[in-house]
Amino acid sequence: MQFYKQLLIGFIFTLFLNCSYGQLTLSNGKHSLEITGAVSTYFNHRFYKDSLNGSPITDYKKNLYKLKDAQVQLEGRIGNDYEYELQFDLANMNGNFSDPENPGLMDAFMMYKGINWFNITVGYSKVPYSRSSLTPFIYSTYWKRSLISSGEFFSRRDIGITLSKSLSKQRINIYAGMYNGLGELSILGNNDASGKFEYIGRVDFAYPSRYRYREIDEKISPIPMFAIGLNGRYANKQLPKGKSFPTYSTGEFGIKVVDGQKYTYGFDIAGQYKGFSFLFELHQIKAILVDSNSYLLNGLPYEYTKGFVKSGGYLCQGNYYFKKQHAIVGFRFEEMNISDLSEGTSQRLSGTIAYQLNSFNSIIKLQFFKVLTEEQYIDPLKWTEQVRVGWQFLFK
Amino acid sequence: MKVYLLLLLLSFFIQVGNIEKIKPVAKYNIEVNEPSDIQYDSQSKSFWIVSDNGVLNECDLEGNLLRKAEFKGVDFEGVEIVGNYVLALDETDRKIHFFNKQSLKLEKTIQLTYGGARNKGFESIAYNDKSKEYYLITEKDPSYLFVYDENFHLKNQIELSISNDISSARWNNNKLWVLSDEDRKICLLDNNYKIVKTYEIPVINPEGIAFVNDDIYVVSDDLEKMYLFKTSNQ
Repeated sequence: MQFYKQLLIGFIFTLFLNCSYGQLTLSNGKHSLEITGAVSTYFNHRFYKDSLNGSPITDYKKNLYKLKDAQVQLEGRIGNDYEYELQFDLANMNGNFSDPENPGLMDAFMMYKGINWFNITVGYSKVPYSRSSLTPFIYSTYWKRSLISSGEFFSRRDIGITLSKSLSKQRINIYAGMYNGLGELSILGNNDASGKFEYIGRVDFAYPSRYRYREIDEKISPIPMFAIGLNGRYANKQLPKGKSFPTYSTGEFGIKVVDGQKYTYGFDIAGQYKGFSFLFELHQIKAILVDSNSYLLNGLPYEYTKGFVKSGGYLCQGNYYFKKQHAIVGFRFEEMNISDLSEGTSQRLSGTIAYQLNSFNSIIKLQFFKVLTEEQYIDPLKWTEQVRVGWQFLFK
Repeated sequence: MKVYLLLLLLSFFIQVGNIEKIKPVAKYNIEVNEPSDIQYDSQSKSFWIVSDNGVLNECDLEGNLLRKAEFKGVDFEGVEIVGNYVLALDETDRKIHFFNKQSLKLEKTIQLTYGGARNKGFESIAYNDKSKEYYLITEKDPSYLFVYDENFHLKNQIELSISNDISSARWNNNKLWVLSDEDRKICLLDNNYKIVKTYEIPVINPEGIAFVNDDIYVVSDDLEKMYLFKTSNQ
């Protein structure tokens, strides 16, 4: 009962907030600078277990109101050749680097478009891997990305250089890049002691026209549209003896950056037609570990593990846009296997309902999560279900 | 009560009667990258097509490229013909470039101001040759219709609430026509800028509209195609 009261208060709070829209572009005729932003806040409630591994649950800190986003974005263009972007999130600039899905600094890059056959992007930005990761979250009806693409298995952002090229009316897009390999932790200033880099490539193909990085078919496509993406990444970060990676850089499960070689590859397929849209995405990781005592090897002998562990997962997502009602419904099923040497997998189901007050500029979103199975040895959870409801507001 | 219900029902059918679904009778590939607007030149019997990468092109009636201007802008979203000039509207820089129709040389540029988002600036331009007025419309959030006199002095500003967005506008047969990309529809407006007639079109990303006599040509940006529609009445 207490939960439903809290949910009602959360709803009233979001509905009675004042609505106004802001947008600003400054231009001197050659240099144009656009200033936009986003604020989002939600109410979160978890349904906790009574106990975990025999100990009673005493920490309920995830039942809360959260300021998810307080973003400011500066996007500029100088003539035809230069573009730049600086985007930061004041809600997440607390020096805590443990959440790669919501980093404080989101983008700080420059792009040169003066070469005919490719564009060059340098600085800190999203790396070209995973359609789900590359889709701007402000165009999602969910409050949380799927775990596989949220930055715990592979980084979503990094500092480096990206070459990109579009072909065939932007139906084919090719990306290749070289990065520090520490992901969001790269902004701390140093590479790890190995001094090695990560290499990432992606190709996506769309038919019959270009396919934007969006989840919802807001335009109610009159003909079926599809996009297929293939991507891979490689890093060989063997640390010198006695050295370790920066705190948080290896991610929640210790698989994001590993002491050794890491191969990651995946594909995604997306489609949309008459308001329905879907995404299927799969990722596989092979980590050849230097440390034979790594917890990822689960204490198993080398004869059994051969010194490597496989990890990965997939997500499938479907959405339908009720244009006249300004409403979107969706579901997502995801499965992760943090280590193939540990028994079990994690499965989660999510449902979402969103109501657009003004497209994605002002939208009320509700997401319900249910944990179906969990990889108990490696990732025991204190909760079984979770609900989030809140309001997203963009200054665009 | 019965009368009220009858009127309600009647108004529903009247509304439905003003919406017509039309299908293209022909389509052509356009030799222009990312075409964003189109206008028909009755003198040269050709199309002027601008592109998202800031280029003005002249094409024949089947979309084949005849010639293009050397000058390159940033993001052309509207095109119009006024006298001996072809006007190209640059959304990002909020400029109107005047090209000499014969030489394709840039002869004049006007700077306008609009503070909206970079890609939500002026999306379309249409010219009323009777009143000598220019109609400039912003894409969305919100869609404003700005009425300028022939010297580009602002005469009026009206908020249009007729579609999710407006991607092109055209003055034809003494009426203003607008095209919506997100709603995929063509709307004929009356003098008070209210919808008189709506045509739903099955075109992905329609960005430009032009009239050749009573035929309607629509360009698709994503597909780089041009579609020919014939309507039952105009």
